Amino acid sequence: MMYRSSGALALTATLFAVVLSAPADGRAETPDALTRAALADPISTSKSGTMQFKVSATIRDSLMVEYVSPMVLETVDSGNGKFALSLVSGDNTGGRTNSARHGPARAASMEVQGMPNQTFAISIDQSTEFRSGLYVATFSHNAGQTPHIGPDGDIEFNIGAALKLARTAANYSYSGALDVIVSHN
Amino acid sequence: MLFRKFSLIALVAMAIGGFSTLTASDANAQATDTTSANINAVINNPIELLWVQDMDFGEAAPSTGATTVTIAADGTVGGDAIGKAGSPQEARFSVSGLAGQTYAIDLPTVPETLTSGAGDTMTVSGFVSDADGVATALAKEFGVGATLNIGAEQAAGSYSGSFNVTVSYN
Repeated sequence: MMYRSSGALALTATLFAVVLSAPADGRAETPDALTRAALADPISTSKSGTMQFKVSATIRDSLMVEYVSPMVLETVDSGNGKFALSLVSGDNTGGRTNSARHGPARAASMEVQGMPNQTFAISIDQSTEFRSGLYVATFSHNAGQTPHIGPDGDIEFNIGAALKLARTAANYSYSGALDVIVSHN
Repeated sequence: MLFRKFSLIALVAMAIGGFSTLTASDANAQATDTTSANINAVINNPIELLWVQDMDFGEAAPSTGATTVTIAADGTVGGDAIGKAGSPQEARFSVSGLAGQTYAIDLPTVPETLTSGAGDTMTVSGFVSDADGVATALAKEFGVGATLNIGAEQAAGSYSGSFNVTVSYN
């Protein structure tokens, strides 16, 4: 009998134990596979994005002026006590006031470099006196009314002038210099 | 027999009592037990940016005073700098995301610095964009413009730098 009672008690306890074995710790169920995969990829949850851009700019050199060749002027005996030779507009053609020229005449030539199609201004001394009674004046150039750099970034133009000297000027080879200023507009 | 019945009744009573005791304690455990649970959410249609082109102010000549080159968001070039040349262009990018969702675009609010190989600098400021602030499922392009600030008698050279653009859902 004792044996029988113990067995019944054990059986009863076991039955109730099975019924009451449900988890009581409140633990949540694990996420499903689809959600877990989405969480593993942070990009798929992004609400913002940042892009970096490069910026570039080029500053060109200022206008550069280069001397190419000198102006050569020859005297002309005008017959009235004055000698003159005029180079018309720097185009290398010698205008003459009177008598024939002596020797070739050649306008000065120079080159300006800068940004393509950039306009610039030319400023030349009004007159340059080499020595008493001999001076060069009436400067002109053939760069046009609105000088500008060519499409290749440079331009070459001529500068002419008129040589004036007194009749008493001795035969001599004179030389001098004149300033030509090129500037941005 | 009497003994046998008593025993059986006693066994049942003990079992019932044990059951009662067990459920009470278990209920107490559930009432006080705490734990943490993860809350997860997935945002569909993330906002996406794609690069199209960088910003380039092209070429300009220095002046005796400070000058500028401006590029609008649509690529229109302006400013009082002399001798502008080259191929200036605005920066461009595309945006895609959840159709109809509005977004904000953040541009630099302080000047960005460009530096030449010789260490000379210029700044870029006044960033603008023509982004309309509404996302579309298909990528849509927008431009970013700005102003290049050239200093007086700025040193010649090639200058470069960078800036960031951020787009965020509202």
